[in-house]
Amino acid sequence: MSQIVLKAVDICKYFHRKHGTLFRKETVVKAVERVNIEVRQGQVVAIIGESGCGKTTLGCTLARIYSPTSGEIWFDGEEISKSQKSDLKRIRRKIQMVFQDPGSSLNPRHKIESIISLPLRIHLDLSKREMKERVMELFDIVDLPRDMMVRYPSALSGGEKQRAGIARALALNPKIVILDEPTSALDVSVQAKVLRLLRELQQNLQLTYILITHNLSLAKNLADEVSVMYLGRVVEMAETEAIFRNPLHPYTKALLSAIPVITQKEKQILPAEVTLDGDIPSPENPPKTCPFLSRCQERRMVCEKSPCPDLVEVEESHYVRCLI
Amino acid sequence: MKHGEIVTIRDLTIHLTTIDGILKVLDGVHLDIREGEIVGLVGETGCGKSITAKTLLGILPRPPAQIMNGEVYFFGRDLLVLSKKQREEMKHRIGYIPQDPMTSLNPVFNVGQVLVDNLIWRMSNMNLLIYLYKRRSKRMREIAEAGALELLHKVHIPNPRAILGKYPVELSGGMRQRVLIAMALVGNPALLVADEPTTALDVTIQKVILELLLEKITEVKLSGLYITHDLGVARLICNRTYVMYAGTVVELAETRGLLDNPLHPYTRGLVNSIPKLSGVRYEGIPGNVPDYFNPPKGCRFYPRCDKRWDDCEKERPLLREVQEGRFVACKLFG
Repeated sequence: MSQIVLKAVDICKYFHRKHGTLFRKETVVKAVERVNIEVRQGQVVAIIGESGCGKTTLGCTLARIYSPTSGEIWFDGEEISKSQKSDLKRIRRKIQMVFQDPGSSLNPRHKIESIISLPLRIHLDLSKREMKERVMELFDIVDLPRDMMVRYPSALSGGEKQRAGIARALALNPKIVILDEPTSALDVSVQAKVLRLLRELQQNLQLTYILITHNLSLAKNLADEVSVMYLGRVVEMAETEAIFRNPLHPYTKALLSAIPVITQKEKQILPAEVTLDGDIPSPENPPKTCPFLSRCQERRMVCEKSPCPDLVEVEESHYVRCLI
Repeated sequence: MKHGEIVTIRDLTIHLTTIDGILKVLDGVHLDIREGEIVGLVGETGCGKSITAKTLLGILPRPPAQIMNGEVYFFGRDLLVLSKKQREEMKHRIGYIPQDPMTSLNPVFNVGQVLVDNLIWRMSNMNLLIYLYKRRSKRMREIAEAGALELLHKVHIPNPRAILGKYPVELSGGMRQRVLIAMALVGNPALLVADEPTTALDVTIQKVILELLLEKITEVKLSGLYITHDLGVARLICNRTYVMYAGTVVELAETRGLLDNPLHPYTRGLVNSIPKLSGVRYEGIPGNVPDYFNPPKGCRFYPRCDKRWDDCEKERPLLREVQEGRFVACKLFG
């Protein structure tokens, strides 16, 4: 097995929110709660879950855009959860991120060339010519026509913007790229092209991806390993094949059966119909018991009494957080 | 018009006037909705799905939009030639569920106010004076409130009385969408137009909302026009599906058949573009959506098509029945 590049141990990220003017009250939003994750060289790890389950926060924490409230992040044999400025700058060359909305993650007042070359300007000391060459090379890598260099983001279509975003992330030859919903803002025919590009890049440049998505079919197609998150916690973690073949946690089952599929062939792959009622509990005040309890179809008496279960290895490298 | 058809759109051509020129957004769109069926309208962003629906609803701002050609029949009457008052009456037999539950509810009114006002407006036959008078009457308000509660009950909102006093910000996305569905049901419509009602929702909630919609539609024998870009959703809910590309209808068929065996090269490309669970390789469609200022003269898909030949460039293919109930607008098929 290849080497572990990024490893997170028990990381938590809490947000403190103060409100009220006279009687200051503080509430804590537990966005990420004790998550463990291991990413191996050349692997694609997907984090899936519904909106508000903390998957983007987890991504940002791993990239050290946020600093974790507690826990450790190991990157290349180095603990980075408490690294300060100069160390961070060095680390960020190796961990890059592609953001969700290609429209708002590119500065509308800069030309594409300057957007893509910004990381080069910050991190490397290149001459103008070398810079230009590198940007051109990046344009070729992501398959953007070179005449786009002098345009502004508003002149690009959604797919082209996302390509520019990918080029920017690749500018410094990172080891890990965190893809935060790379295609959710795109149309399907464009989506497919961006996905193909991502896959090719991964194979050609030996990249490691952390893919954050709510689209299960995407995870199935791209990822080697999947973690399912619910309310800040990982509820199930396994290899992609295993999760789709044999989902164990009731939430994973519900999530899988809710995918609207296109062809009859896919329908047969999915587990039997499970419909979820109710809403996700607020992360401000998460239940002490299993977080999924209020919506679970298979709940038993035990679940209501016992505290949140731990991740247990049920099969080989298949972890589930459920009492059942 | 054939028997049992509620909506018939024929040859609808719409141009939008902008500073830069004329956008030819719709070109000869045909659409039928029969009684008791849900018709899907699928396509990518900017292919004219919403414009078609808005024309049907009569909420297309004119200008800038200009209807160049075509007829839109609703229960046998052409909506485009009716007077404003007559159209208003017809309009109330169509319920509309908008796309984004987050922004479609006015944040300064609570759910009760919105529903009660809507109901009183209906009860006063859309006459402003009667409406203002009735609004002040306590008895009317009570009747309307009871009506509102019943509507909320219909869309399976637990504890509807508590919801009445809530503002949209206090509700989750799924709840808001339910309230919007309740609003669409206010006037006992014969047709429900849903414009991507679940795109802003999570998959698990999407499923609940779709089931609710399906239940309502079969319960009261409504017909539905369901606009979406998600083919999987179309498969779940629609009986027949129209595929649109760049302002034209390219294929029409029974949904399952359409998705399992797409005929038009665009539909095939679209179906192949979606990552599948079965792990079949996906591929995109080369090229981009054509420029609406100056769309291709022949088939609008021709510049991106992998099966094109010379004829495609010259002449627009018409929708032709290739199999029972299956229409394709492509030169490959006759």
